Amino acid sequence: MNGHPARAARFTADAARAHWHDEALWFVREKRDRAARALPEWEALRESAAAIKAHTLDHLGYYLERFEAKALARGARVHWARDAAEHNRIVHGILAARGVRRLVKSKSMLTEECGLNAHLAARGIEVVDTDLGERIVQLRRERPSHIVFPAIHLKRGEIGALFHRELGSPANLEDPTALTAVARAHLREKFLAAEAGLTGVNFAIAETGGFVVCTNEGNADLGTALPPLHVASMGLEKLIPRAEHLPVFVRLLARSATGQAITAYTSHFHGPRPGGELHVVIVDNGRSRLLADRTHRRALSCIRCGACMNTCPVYRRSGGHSYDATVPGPIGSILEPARDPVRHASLPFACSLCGSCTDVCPVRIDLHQQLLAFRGELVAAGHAGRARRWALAVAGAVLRSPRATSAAGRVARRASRILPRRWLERAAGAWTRERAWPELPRASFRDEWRQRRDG
Amino acid sequence: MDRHAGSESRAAILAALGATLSAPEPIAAYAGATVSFADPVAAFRAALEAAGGRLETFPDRASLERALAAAPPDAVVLRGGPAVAESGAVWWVPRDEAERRAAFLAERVILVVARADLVDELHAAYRRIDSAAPHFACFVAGPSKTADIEQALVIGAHGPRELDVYLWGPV
Repeated sequence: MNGHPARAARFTADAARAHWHDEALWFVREKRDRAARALPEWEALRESAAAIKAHTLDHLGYYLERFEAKALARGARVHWARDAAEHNRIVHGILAARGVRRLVKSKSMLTEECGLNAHLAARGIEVVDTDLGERIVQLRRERPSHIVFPAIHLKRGEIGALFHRELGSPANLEDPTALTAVARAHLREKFLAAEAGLTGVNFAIAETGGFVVCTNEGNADLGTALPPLHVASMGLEKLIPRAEHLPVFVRLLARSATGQAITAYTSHFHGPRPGGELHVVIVDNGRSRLLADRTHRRALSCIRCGACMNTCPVYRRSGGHSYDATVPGPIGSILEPARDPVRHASLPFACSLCGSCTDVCPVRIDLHQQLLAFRGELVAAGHAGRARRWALAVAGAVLRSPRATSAAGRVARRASRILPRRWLERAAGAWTRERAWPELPRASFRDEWRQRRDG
Repeated sequence: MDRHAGSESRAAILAALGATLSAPEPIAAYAGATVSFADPVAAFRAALEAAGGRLETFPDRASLERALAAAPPDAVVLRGGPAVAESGAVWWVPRDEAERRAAFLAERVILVVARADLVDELHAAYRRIDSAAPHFACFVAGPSKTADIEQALVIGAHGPRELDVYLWGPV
C-alpha cells in the first residue's frame, strides 16, 4: 500500500482526531448550505459563473493580452513565467534589485505550488506568511492541509505549544482569542518591518487591468498598504472579462468557502499607489497544457473556495496531508495528477464517486466525472500500479464474457464454502479490512431464475 | 530586469494557449433575478452583525455629526458607500494613502454611509461604482477576523477589532 491509502492510514490511525476533523469540515459544509439557501438566485449564479469562466478559458490568450495592456497602462509591471522556477526567479529578481530582505505574504496557493518560500529563504530573504493558518503551518515547517483553512488539521493545544516554542507566548495557552492576539502582535511587527508585500490574486479583470484579493484577516491589505512594493502572483486562469462579472464570483466565493456572505475585505487593486510599484507575475506552470486537455480543462475554472474539500467524505476522513499536494481534495485530485501523473497517480482513486463535490462546486466543475475519467487515463498510461492494472484487465475480460462471469461466480461460491475465512479475507485485500466477508448464496440468480421458470 | 527572457516566455505562453487576437463576442453579465428586501436596513443590520460589525442609524446629518463628535478619539472615521444589504459590506475608497494605512492599523473604525446609498445586493452596488477608478478600494464587511484556530471565530486578526457603520439620512 502506498500513495494516498498509506498516508490516509496514518491519519485514520488516530480515530478520535479523524472523527474530529470530519466534524469540523462538515460544520463548514453546513454553513455553506445555509448561505447558499439564503439566496434564491444561487443556482442561476452558479450557471452564470460557469458560463463566464468557460468563455474566458476559450479566449484566454485574448483576455491575457488585454489584461496586460490595461495593467501596463495603469502603471503596473507585468511578468510572464512558464513554470515554477521562472516564477521564483522573477520574484527574487524584483526583490533583489530593490534590496528587499523582508517580505510579507498573504495567502497564495500558487506560491506554495512554486515553492517560493524556500527559494527566497535560500537567498537570504525572510518570507513571513501572514494569514494566521498559513503562519501556523509555516512555523511548523509543514504545508497547508486545506486551501482556505491551512491549519484545520491542528488542535488549539498544538497551536498553543507551537506559539510557546516559536513566539515565546505563555505555556498552555489554548484560547483561540488569546492565541490570535499573540499572532497579531508578532505579525504586526513583521508588517511594519517589511519592505515588500506579496499577494495572490482571486480575480483578475481583463478589461481594467486590475485584480481582486479576498481576505478575512486584512493581511493582504496591511501587506500592501505599508511597504511600497507589491508583487502579485497570479495563475493565468484567474481572469474574468469585465468588472461587471465580478459580483457573480464575489457572491459565490465566500458563501462556498466559509458560509459567509462576503469576506471582510474584497480589495481591488489597479496599478501601483503614488510613488509605489506593482508587479504582476502571470504563471503558466502546466495550466496551458491542462487547457488543451478537452476532458479536464474545466478544472481551470476553479476559484479555490474549498467547498469540494469540506463536503468530500474521503477528504474529511483522511486529512489534507494525505493528498501530499498543494491543492488537496477533489479539485486537487484533478489539478495535481494533471501536472505530475506519476507522483499523484493515487489521487483520482481517493474518491467514492458520490458526486457531492460536483453538487457544491460554485462554478459547476464536473469533478466526480473528471475523477472517473482520470482513473481510466492513469490505468491506460500505466501510472496506476501493476496490480491494479492486472486486476482491472482480468475483471474486464471476465465481465465481458457471460460464460466466464458465471464460471467465476461458481468458483467464488464454492470457494467461500470450503476455504477458511481468513484466506478469503486476505484474498479480498483492503475490502475486508473494515467489512466482514459476505455470505454468498448457494445458487446464482441465473440458476434460481432458471429453476423458477422451469418449475 | 531580464526583459528579453520575459518576452520569450510571454510568447511561449500565448502560443501554447493558441492565442486568438481578435475580440470574442462579449459574454453577458448576470441578468437573472436577484434577492431583494422589504426592509433593507434590517437585512443590512443582520448581515453586518453576522460579520462582527454594528449598525447605528441617524435620521439626519445633525444627529450624525453629534455622534461622530462623541466617538472615541482613537476611532478612524471613513466615508463609504454604497452599502450592500445582503452581506453587510460597504464600498470604501481611501481619500489618500495615510487614510488607507490608518484604516487597517486602527483598533476601531467607523464607516459613514448615507441611507440613500444602501442597495439590496452586490450587482446593484457594482453598477453604482467604478471599481477600477482608484488604485486601491475595497468592500469592507465588519472588522478583521479569522477562524483559523479550530473554526473559532476571533475578531481582530490583523486589522480593526471593531467596525461600526453609521447609516444616516432619509431614503
